[in-house]
Amino acid sequence: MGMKIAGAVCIIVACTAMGFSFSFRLRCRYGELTELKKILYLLSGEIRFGGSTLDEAFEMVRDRCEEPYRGFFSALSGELKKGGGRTLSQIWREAVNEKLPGSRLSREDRNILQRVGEDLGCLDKETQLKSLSLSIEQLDGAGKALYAELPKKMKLYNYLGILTGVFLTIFLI
Amino acid sequence: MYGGGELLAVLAGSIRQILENTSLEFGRLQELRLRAGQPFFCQYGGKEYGFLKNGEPVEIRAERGRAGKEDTGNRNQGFYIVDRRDVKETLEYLSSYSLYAYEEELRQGFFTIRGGHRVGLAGKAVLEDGKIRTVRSISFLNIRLAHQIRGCAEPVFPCLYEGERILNTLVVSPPGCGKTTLLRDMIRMVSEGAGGRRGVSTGVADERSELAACYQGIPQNDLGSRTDVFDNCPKAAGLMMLIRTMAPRVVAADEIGGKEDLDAVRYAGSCGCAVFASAHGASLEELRGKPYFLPLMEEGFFERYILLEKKWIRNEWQVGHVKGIYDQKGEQIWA
Repeated sequence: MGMKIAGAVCIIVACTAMGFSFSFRLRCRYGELTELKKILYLLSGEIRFGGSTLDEAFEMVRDRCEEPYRGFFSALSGELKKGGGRTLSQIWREAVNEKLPGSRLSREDRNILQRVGEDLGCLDKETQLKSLSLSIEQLDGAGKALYAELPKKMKLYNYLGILTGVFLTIFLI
Repeated sequence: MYGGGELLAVLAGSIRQILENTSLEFGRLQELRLRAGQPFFCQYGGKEYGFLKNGEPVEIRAERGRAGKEDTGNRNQGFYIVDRRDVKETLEYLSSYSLYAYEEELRQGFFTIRGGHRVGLAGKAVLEDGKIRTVRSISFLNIRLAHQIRGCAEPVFPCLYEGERILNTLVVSPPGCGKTTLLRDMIRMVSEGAGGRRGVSTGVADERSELAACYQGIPQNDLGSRTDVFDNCPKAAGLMMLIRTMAPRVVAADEIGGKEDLDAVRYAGSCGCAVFASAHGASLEELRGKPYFLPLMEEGFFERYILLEKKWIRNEWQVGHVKGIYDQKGEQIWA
């Protein structure tokens, strides 16, 4: 009997933790979307007012953002300085895949981030800033949609975790 | 190529490969020319070279085909022809993938990259209200390599002084004869102090980033330990600001010529600063023919004129030869 109780507790705790982990991921995704927006604002500012080249702008962003984006921009600026061989969108795409594997961003968010890299390096400042502001709008839209559903979804994941654990316990007993 | 890793990193892959496999010395490389659809040429040790498809450099002689042979009509045969993509790729690397950051420079047709190398470009001008807004379809690049030569100003250094007073000095030469290199070393020597003279505070208005070759505000060339640099700033505005804010004893600017530049130079002189500057011209007579220079020359503002030329020595053109040093009356004091 003791074993059964211990097993039941384990199942309930594991399922609850899973539910909380999903809900935590959701909250982290919202945090990352906000961080990314901040980063793109910083990049726009550096381009508009600092007249910086991308490697300089990436270095500045690197010093002002949190992980995993610090590593991401550090790798980008290093690669640009090395120079030669690859296009900017290739370098950006590789950095997204290599430096942001643990990111909580959804596939749609990552697509927006990939497009930022494809649109960088325009001929004139105005177009460059407009393409960045389009990406900021898209991230903003994704963030707002998530924020509207966040409390509901977090509750749902938390309860779903606990209930799945209870259901599994009853089913197994 | 021996040396020049920094330069190779900003060239398109195919061009880089050609240069990497040659035995050229970076120190003697003066200019690279990329023209879409035309052979890749370079100026090396005062001579022009083209490159065969296998990367072998071939000297180009005037009025003749390659390697001195008569031109048979198909003059580009056998040469590596620069592709449109080579130009585009090189431009991406040269601008650190950030052409937008050089928008203002593109309007003027050139920009300066890390190391102080100047990139001239041409393509299709986009006009707005009759003025050039930007240049697109860039198909022609001219990369002029800057080489700092420490000590090249040593022979002329004593002429820059009269007692303890530093004299207003103008370095004059046609393009590509070493004006900027000499001016850079004059700045370094006057800032560091040499020949028993103490170094003095020096301000440099480096509009094209060629003198100091600043990267993120820090000079990559040695301009001396008492030199303040206003990078990427119009010469006239830069000189004024330096005088107001940094209290220099000497101010310097490269390639002056416009009315504003010369007004700023005159202002600097009236503030008690000595002025070092450079200007295009093959002789003092030619300089007098320029409308804004004539009044300054008649006033005797510049107390020293250093005239440079290139000379054919040991089978190659050598730049930076001092043709003569003249005083404010135009009399030669050193030859």
